[in-house]
Amino acid sequence: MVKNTGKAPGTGAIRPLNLPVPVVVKEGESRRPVSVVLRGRRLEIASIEDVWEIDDEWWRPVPVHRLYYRTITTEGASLTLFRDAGAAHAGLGGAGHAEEWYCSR
Amino acid sequence: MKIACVLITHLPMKAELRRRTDLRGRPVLVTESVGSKQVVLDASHEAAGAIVGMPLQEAISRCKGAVLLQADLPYYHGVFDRVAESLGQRSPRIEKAELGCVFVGLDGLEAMYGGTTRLITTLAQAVPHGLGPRIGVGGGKFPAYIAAVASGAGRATRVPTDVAGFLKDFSVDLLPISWNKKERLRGFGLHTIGSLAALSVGSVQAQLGTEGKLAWELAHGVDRSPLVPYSREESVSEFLTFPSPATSIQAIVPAIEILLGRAFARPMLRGRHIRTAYMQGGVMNRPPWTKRFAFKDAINNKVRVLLALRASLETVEMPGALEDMRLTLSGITGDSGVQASLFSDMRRQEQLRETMRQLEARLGTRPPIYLVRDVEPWSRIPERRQALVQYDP
Repeated sequence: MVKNTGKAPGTGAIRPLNLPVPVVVKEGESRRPVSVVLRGRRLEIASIEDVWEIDDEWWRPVPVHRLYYRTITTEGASLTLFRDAGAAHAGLGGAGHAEEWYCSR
Repeated sequence: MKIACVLITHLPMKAELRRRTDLRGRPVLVTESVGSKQVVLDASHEAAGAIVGMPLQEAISRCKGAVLLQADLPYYHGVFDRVAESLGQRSPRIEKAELGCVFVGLDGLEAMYGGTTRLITTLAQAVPHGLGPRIGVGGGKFPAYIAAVASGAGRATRVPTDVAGFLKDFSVDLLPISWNKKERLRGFGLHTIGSLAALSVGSVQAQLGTEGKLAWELAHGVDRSPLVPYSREESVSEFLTFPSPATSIQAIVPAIEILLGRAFARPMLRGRHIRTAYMQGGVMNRPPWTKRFAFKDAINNKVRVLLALRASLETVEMPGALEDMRLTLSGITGDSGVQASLFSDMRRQEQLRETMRQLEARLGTRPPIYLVRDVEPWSRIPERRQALVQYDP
């Protein structure tokens, strides 16, 4: 019988790509993003171009539940932000695990 | 086997006088660099006292007021090549020996030219005017060479039936053996070929080895060395003169481009590939600059040749400002295409594997080189679509 090594499954030779970056977002009306702190810089959101939602992998302990916003900053840059509600929806985090914002690459 | 030796003595000097007629009748020294020293390569008849191989300072002290010329070996070889080509039109079998010496196979040609005399006259006329060829005819290359040495300029000598008797009074210096062996012969008091021939072959061989046996046989007029026909290499040559002396690679590259354009427009190169390029540039008061480039693969494209030449020239140091340039493309293949490998990726994979091995040895761990691979390209979650996979060639 094969013993459990205790290591995470998968090969170490594979690394994830385009992982989302946690960011601090100031929320406005209807919890929409107003400004975002990215790499130590505060960027003001000028407009929100698109909004969409992903609900997936509901069978996992931490399902994917994200609300995406494609935004344009006042400097003209395009940023895709999302609010991750997966942990909160699963009731795992309790009070300390509020919904978190990420910047998708 | 009947062979003629066409010998042009003092070819460098005669070649210089052909293009510099103003130097006729004046003492002239052609010099070349041997290591850090300048020595005399050739001297005109008027430069009395100067001999070939003499250090330049000594030669100048012996003939004051002599005009000094830097040896232009590519030019001398060019003149010699033209002589060989011209002789090659008279006989299909010619061998190019040292600079200024050509052996011509005469077998079967006498009847064609109406006798030996006419044939020899034809050979003499094949040599450009002013080079004064000396012709010797014999049953082997060495006797024919000695006969040519014995001839006057523009004249011919036929080796008599008694070959050993004909050779006996000539110096052992004329034997095609190494300098050390000639020194040993002189050390034994053997100064003429006849004195060598008088010895037994065993004693000569005991002292001088295989070269001794060869020298003894030649002294008896026995020369078994075959005539090795010279095969002319196909080449395309183009020339230009710079409007102002070119000192940098940036100035030379456009000239190469022009020369390549002209060369590849020639019918000889149509649909064919080349393997080598030879560049020669004239430099004021200095020996010509020459550079030979051999390409890894045969090329039939002007742009690719230019790229290869430019990359090679980056590291080349010019001896001075170039006044003109000649580009010769040779190694012309009969290919009309390049054969691709059936397993085209194999070589590339092997090169990558080797690079990875070297990196691993240098870093002490697997090199952090990854490939971007699609994992779930259909996923709605962006970070699930692709992943980095450790590169393993």
